[in-house]
Parts: sequence; structure tokens; C-alpha cells
Amino acid sequence: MAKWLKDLFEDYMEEELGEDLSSRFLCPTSPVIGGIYFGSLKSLNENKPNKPLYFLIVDKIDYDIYEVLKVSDRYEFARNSDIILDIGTLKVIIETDNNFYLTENEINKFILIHQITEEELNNILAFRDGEKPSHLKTGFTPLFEEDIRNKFNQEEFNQIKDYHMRIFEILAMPDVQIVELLPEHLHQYEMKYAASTDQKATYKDDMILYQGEDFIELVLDEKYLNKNVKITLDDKVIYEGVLKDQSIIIPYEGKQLDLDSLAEKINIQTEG
Amino acid sequence: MHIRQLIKIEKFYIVRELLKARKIKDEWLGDLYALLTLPDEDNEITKTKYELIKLILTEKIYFKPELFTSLSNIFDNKIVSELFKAKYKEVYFPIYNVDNEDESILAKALVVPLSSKTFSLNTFVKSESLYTIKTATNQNFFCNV
Repeated sequence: MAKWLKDLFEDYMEEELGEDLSSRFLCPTSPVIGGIYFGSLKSLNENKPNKPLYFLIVDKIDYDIYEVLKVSDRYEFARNSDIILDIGTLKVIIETDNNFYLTENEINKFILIHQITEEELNNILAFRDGEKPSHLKTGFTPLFEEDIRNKFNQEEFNQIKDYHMRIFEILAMPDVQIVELLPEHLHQYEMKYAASTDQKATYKDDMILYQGEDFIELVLDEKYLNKNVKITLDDKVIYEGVLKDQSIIIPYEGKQLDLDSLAEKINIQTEG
Repeated sequence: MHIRQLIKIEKFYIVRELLKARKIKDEWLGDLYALLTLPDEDNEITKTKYELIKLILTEKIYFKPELFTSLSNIFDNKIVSELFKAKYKEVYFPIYNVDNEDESILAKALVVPLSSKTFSLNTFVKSESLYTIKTATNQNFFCNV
């Protein structure tokens, strides 16, 4: 093993930030898909060392959970699964086999230092999925198990292991109650004039109705939880069964709906 | 259904849309005003506080002096009265980090000129930052980011 690489690894293992970044003020902003962020590992957990932590946000997988890839400025340890990227002020590696999950609040403890292009992001994700875009620069394939690049990769994973394992908590979350409706059932509630309103929410007795970008959400009063309910729209049954969550999602990609009229036509009954 | 159920299950994005659509019942206002005292630990809370303050300052039917005064000692009768009469300004508020310029941002803020005090309900806005602007403008104000 090259001595310089061994020395670099020792330096990496001992590296800590001089400044305590975990306690500084940062104004909350929305996470940027394709953004490379920098901060301290300690910001995620006080018991972790004050080591530098870089990551790239690749996807929003749930309401408040983002998938990120570990990024490092230690490009000398790049393996064949790492993409080497020059981001102007730094040369970094995107560790495509080292993903983990962070909430918006956690991401807000880090600084956005660079934003890659949509094309670069797509290339990175395609590479992870097995494609080999020729223009991407990657590291070396370690020939031996004890190669220091493997040690580096293992240590990189150990730093964020807890956040990698979060996927199991996410998968264990109860499934969202989704109701499929034919588009014609909602077309009659579409606003006739484009500029007539941009109202996205309304309420009625025991429910609140919200129109998102590609879904309608019915939030029912908590008194219906774990009860057998029947929900109808214009006498058509759209949900029947035990309510396990206050929210019911109806996928819908269309025009702005007249939510007040729609809410009027939705009825909730308890059964049994 | 009471809006406190939405707050409890953290559906702040729906709360904001109800505020924007003025779909608010009177009996919800106590719970909504209570949101203003929450620490800005979550961007969703910060954004909801912003929409709420904007609604209260725009539509006076939602302005309840007694709810303001019960929130904090900061809201004495004089300040509440000034808030009620004032017209807010929507401005971009520079938050500058002298140690690291990269952390400096332009935040959108609602500002109301006041005669006696300068303060913000955002827990992440440092009083020193407000004091700098107060000195530069020679004006007290209430600010919500």
C-alpha cells in the first residue's frame, strides 16, 4: 500500500472540524434536490464526533424525508462506485453506494455549497442503477479486500449508518390510505374559469379538504379513527372500511377544483 | 373538525392553505395564535407563522387583541394597538453571517413600524440583527420572517 495513501487515511480518521458548526444559526430553507451540503456530523447527533459531513440530495421520498448520497472531499480514496466531480472550489466524490435519509430539519443544519445540474443528477442516478455514462469519472476498483479504499468506504458508511438504516422505519410506517377515482367523477368540480380561484383548502363539519399538485387529501375528524366508515361522493362510495389514518389521498392531476362544492357532496357515515 | 387536529398531526401545509383561503373559524383563532409562540425548529412552523401574521395584519376580523396580549408580555396594549392600525411591509430581510458570507441569506419578512419596541417572533432571528437595522433606520419595528 502506498505510504502517502496510508498517511492520508490516518489524517482522515483523525480529522475534526476546528469550529463547532452544530450550534450555529442557519435560517430554515427548503432542501434543494441536486444540492451538495456541508456541515458537521455532530449536527445530526451530539454524540457523534465533529467531523465534516458532505452529502448530495437526490430525491424526496416522503413528505419530510430526503434520500441523500454521501459526498467526500477525500477523492484520493475514490473507488469504482464513486463518481469524481469537480465543483469549482472543491474536487469531491459522490459515493453512489452510500445513501442515507435525512429530514428537512436535519438538512437545515447544513449549508448548501453547490448545486449540480439536472443532467448531472440524472447521470449519477443512472450510474447507480448500473448504466455507465462514458463521460463520468470514477475511482479505481480495489483489488484486495484489505485495500485502503475499502477501509475508507467502510468508515464512511459507519459515520451515517444510523441514517442509512432509517429506511426500515420508513417502510414500517402505515400505508397511506389511497382511493382511486375515475377522472370523470371529479371533472364536474373543475373550475370553469382559470383565474376564478387558487383556493387549495376548505373545511366542512367533520373534515378538511386539500388539493395538492397531484392529489386531493381528505383529513377526517379524529373521532372516526379506528371506526368503520363509509365515505361517499355524489352517492358513489369512495371509501368503506376501518379508518386507520385521518388522511385519505385521492390521486388527481387536473385543473383547480371548486373545493367548496366538492366538500358539499362528500358525506361521511359511521357503520356498525 | 377543529384546526388543532391538523396542528397535532403536523399538517402545516394545509393550515397555510386554509389561512390563505380565509377559511378560518373564530373558535380556531386561539390555537392559531398559539402557533406564534412555537420555536422555529421546523421550517413548516416558520412558514405557517408567516402566513398567519400576514392574515392577521391584512384581515382585521382575525386580529384579536386579547389573544395577542395573552401570548407574551411583549404585546402590551400600546403595541397591539399599533399593530392593529399599522400597514405591514413585505421586505427582503438580510441575515448576514460575518464569520461566513456563504451563510448569509435574504429572507422574506413582514415588517411593521412601532414606536417603542423592536422584536421578532422568530426564535432564530437574533436581537443583535434587529438592533443593527433599528440603528440604521432609526425606527422600532416588529418583524416576522
